[in-house]
Amino acid sequence: MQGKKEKADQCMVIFQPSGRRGFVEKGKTLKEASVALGVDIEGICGEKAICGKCKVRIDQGFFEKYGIESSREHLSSMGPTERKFFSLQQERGGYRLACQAKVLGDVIVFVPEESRMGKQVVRKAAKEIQIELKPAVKKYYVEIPKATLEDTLGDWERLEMGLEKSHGLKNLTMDYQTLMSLQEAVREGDWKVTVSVWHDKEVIKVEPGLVKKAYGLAVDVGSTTVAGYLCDLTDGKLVATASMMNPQVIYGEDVMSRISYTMTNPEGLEYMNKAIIDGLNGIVEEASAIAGIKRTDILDMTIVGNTCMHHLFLNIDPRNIGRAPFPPALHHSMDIKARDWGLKIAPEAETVEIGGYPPCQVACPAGISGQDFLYFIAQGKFDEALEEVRRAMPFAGVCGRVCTHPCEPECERSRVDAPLSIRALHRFVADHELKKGRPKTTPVEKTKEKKVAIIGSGPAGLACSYELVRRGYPVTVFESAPKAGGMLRYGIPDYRLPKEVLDDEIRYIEELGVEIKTDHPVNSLQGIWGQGYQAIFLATGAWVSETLDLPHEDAKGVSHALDLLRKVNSGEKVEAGNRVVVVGGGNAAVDAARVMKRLGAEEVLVVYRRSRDEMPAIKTEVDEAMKEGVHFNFLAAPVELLNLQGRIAGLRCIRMELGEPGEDGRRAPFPVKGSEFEMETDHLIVAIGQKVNGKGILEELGYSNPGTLTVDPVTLKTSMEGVFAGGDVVLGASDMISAIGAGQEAATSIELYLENIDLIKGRPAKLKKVEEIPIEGVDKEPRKELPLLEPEKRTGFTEVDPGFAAQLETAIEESKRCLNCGIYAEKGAAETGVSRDIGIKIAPGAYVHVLPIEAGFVGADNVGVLIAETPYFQDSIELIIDIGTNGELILGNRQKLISSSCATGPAFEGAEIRYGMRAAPGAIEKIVIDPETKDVRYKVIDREGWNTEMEEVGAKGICGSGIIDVVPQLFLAGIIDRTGRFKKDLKTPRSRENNGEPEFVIAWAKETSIGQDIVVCQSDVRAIQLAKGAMYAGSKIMMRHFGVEKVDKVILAGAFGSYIDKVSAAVLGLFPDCDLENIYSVGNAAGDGARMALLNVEKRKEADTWARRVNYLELTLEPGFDKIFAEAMWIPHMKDKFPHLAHLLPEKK
Amino acid sequence: MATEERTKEILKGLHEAVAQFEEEEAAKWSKIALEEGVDPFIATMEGLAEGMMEAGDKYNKKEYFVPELLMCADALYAGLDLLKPAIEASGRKSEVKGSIVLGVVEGDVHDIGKNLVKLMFEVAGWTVYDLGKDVPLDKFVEEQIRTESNVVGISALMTTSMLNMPEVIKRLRAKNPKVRIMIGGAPVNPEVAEKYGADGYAKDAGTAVDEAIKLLKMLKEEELSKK
Repeated sequence: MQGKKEKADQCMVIFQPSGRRGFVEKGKTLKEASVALGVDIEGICGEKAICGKCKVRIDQGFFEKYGIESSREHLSSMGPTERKFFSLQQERGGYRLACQAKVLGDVIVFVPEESRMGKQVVRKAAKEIQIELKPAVKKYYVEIPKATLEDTLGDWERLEMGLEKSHGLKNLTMDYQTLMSLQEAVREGDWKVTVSVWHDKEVIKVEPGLVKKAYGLAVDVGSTTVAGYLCDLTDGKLVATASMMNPQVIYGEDVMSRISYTMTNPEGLEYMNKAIIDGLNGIVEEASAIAGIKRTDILDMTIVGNTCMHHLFLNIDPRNIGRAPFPPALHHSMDIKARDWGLKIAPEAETVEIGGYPPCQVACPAGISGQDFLYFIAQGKFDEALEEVRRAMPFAGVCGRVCTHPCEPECERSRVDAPLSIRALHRFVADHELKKGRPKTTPVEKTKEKKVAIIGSGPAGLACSYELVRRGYPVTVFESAPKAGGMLRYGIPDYRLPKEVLDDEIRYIEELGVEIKTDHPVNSLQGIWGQGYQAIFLATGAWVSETLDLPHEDAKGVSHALDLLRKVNSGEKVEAGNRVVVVGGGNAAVDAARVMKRLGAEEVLVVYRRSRDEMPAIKTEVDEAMKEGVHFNFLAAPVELLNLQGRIAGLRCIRMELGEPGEDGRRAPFPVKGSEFEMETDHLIVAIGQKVNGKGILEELGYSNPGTLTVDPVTLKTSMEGVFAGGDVVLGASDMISAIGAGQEAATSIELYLENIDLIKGRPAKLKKVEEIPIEGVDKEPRKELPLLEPEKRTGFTEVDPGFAAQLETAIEESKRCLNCGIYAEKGAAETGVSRDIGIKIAPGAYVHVLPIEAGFVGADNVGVLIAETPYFQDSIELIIDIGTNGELILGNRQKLISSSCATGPAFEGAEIRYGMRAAPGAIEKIVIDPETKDVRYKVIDREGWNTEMEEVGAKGICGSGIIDVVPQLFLAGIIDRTGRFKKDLKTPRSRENNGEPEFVIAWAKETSIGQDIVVCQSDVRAIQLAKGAMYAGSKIMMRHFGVEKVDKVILAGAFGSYIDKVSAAVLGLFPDCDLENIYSVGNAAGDGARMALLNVEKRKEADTWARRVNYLELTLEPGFDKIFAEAMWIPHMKDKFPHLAHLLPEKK
Repeated sequence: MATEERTKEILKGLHEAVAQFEEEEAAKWSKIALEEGVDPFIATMEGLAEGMMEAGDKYNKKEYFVPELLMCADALYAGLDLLKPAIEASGRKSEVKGSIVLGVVEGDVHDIGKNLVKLMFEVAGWTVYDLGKDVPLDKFVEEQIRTESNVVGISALMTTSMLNMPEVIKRLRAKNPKVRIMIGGAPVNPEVAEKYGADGYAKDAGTAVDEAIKLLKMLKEEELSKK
């Protein structure tokens, strides 16, 4: 939708890969721009930055093709609300939320696949092809004699002899990588193996046992679409088709703009090469997944593409094919090891791509991306690393000490050696800041009016307040205790979590603008509503200890762990006693035991009814307790409290044994009859669980005493409108990271609630874990553990774990162990020293065969067309037209072949046409105009029937086949004349003028989803005339050189070749007159050719032979080209006769 | 000697023939003009050239497209072929409005646009030094110096070859800071022109001459203000 800049305050916005563009008013959001330009971006939260589904990326630089300078600075700056959806790397990579970023200047916006609503319809469908099977890779089954002490010949020599004996193969060579896995394969198959041999020359794969199936992939890399055809090499059948938009589209729509991108950007070639290699690997993955095979089962690959694509995927500088005389780097076909087709990784974050998320981040309830902050630590950028943690949550220092680290067991590094010390490393960045002093944070501006009350200042409540304050809400936290922190402050002893760490992180939250009212118990929710709050988050925790339910539990000397810890943490004096028994196996039990030891108890014994493996306490804490001299009595449970004059004196226990695992996966304990025993104690501490205080506000919510409050598991909604609850009050005695996660979820729910958006639909999507991370070639490097304070030095409450704080280098070294599992940070891999093979990921020994090219603008794709259509075997004279962004022509028969190329431009692909678009749902693909009434009937992709037969059409624009229909239809209906000029004074409201330019309405606004009339204007017709004129002129000049007046057959090939209406193409004058019966649409012939070359090596030879024999004709050098071209722009032509169209065309005046 | 009324009729015939791209008509009316003694210079300037101006105007309004414009040019040349010798015989010299060096930049062989621009300049009475296509960068500089042209017009049809333009501009400026440079061609737009440091830009043949005249005027004003 190109338009004129009408006012000074308009900016050009170009969306990729759809290519839609237009001027929008300054200050509009990208989302608004996308709606106006007919680009569908996901998003359901009503543009409130809650669902995070409208992620887009801004591409920077001066784009010669559009003449605009696109910059991230051309958007409004990112606020904290938006920022939370991105990692720092993503932010620096140019990611934005379309609903938040306001346009202030020209921008090029890339809409990633997951943010696209209407997915592109790739119309490169494959047809059945008949061809004799003669693949380059064949499988041979061979049984070889076992190695024995008497016969110690090497495995390879043994195999060589076997292959010669049973299959007559001689002089074979062995692929080096295959060799490395040879011994294992041979032994695994008990000396019976299947060997894949390439061209009967080189062994490229050895598999144990008999394996019959072999697969190959044929790929057509088009400027706009890439299509892969996975074939079974044993029967020639097509087993899967995979396709995608060419990811290079963001660097330019046509080959010329991509070439110029390499010329103006030093990293241009690398970016584009990486984009297409990643894309090809995507095709490999997708096709393998559809077929249900492993990607390493793909043993061969053929590839075609125009000369520019060919150079770009081979990482060859294409600049010389971009200027006269257009010589390519080479013409000949090539065989390259797929794995060697490596890339240099771009050094800057320009190519950041959101793929899957790292497993550590997916496992973390608070969504901290370990990978992202480790990436910064590895570079010594500690502040950035901390900022990265704080994007997710405010407790880097606290979590870094007491978190149960669900991330670490998920760490992929454990497949190599041991997981990263993720917990210790985020503590490290927090400590680093604390040590040097944290500057005061600026408060977040309150942009929202509705007030939120949070009851409870534990991790859940504070995490929720942190989310909401960053989103601009006024938040008040009510805390009944004298200080904030909840269980973090009153439940965890100082030797694990020093108070100054907690204090600082709470202060940070307050500095952002959260108001915390301590000593402020809330007795009624009604009271809160009365103060004007519009939503409440209840995070009051579970502070009531479960009781043993035995007589004498109220005796002196019996206490409950939580009460005890609270007292200790509040500085109250606590009598330790001499012989302490703690009953329970959770963190509270272990903490209480260690605290008592520190307070001077002579002996501390923990009694737990299951074994050590079942203990819910953090394992390392149990280890440390043991080192400190705490004793454990496992598989024992109290049955009676021994009471001496109102004071505890001892405990009678019973032995337990474990049964089968129960529903929670833990083995349930059962008492062993007659196994009772007694123990003395003067201080019994009960630590067997926590529950909520069901009195007061919980009663208002209809709490009915199951121990915890029941809420909606996803939205955390309670029974009262506007009240949400989470953390221990819902989970029971849980862990801080789960509580933080609950606080975040609650914040999302509250915002959705306040903005009146569906609480389920409006939530951000769950993070998707990255698939299969390659670990081959990663060297082992042990996890850096830090020695803890020696047990004998653990007097008082000194922190036991010193962390990495003093050892910057160790922290950096440890961070470098990260494998950077998330796809978007692949460049991190190079910088942190992990090398990875990133060639084409098929069988490691396999080759890729790149078909030859004919000339600068007649590439391997045209060779594909050539070997698919084989005009060189025909007597009749064929004209083959490959329609794409660059049009390629072949003319001839067995006597002679000529090829040429014409710059049709992207008009047929929908670009440079005001309402043009690529083939996608909503695109008008067929148009018929009634010559009498001038009414229009059209068909839309993915909708059955004509527009006139449906209520809601939802048209968005016109795609290639529709564009080829529209001009002949306008002409036949008398709306334009033969010169392409719009006629005046037509009696139909569809025909009108816009700013002095005539246009014709194809679809009225009410039939569209873009809210405006879809029209074809004079400039559109002109662009199509130029494109079709170039094709026609090319055909004519070739015919002249060939010495013929007419052709016998016209073959239309190309991405949408099979969708083109051949009568429309003929009336438009895409080619000279031909019998309509002899015009064929063959679809993607280039892809067919690639498949044939995959299935039959003779075809590869044929390709090499004919690519050289075809005579390339440079059309622009033709004398009189101007005139031939000009005449060909009329419809169908200025002078030529069309006897075969006589019945359709109006009489010439 | 034709009457004033008849002269008008003949000039109209010439005008219409070119504007309606009728080559034979243009030749026919030119013959008539010569036979009936119309001043060949007036027949050219007020007949043929006026017709071409109208064609350019129609092209601007998108009523005409490249083919029509090229055919108008054919009609124009059909007339000129007959009238030119007569003008030369009469010894009359037309006033030269300006001179321009034109060419398609190195690496590019697409020259239809440039040829149309050339035509419009000629019709408007300019002297055109046409360097053709795929013109080496220094050739522009040499030709400008040789012909002392006030304006240089550079064309490119491909995004790739367009990248050669800033270098030509740089070299031209280095040799002659006063020269006025305008660029054009499909991938060029006003923003590119500004970025490359060109003085002017015209989107097509129809507007190129006006732009050149504007540049010349500015140049003269600058020189006047210096004096």
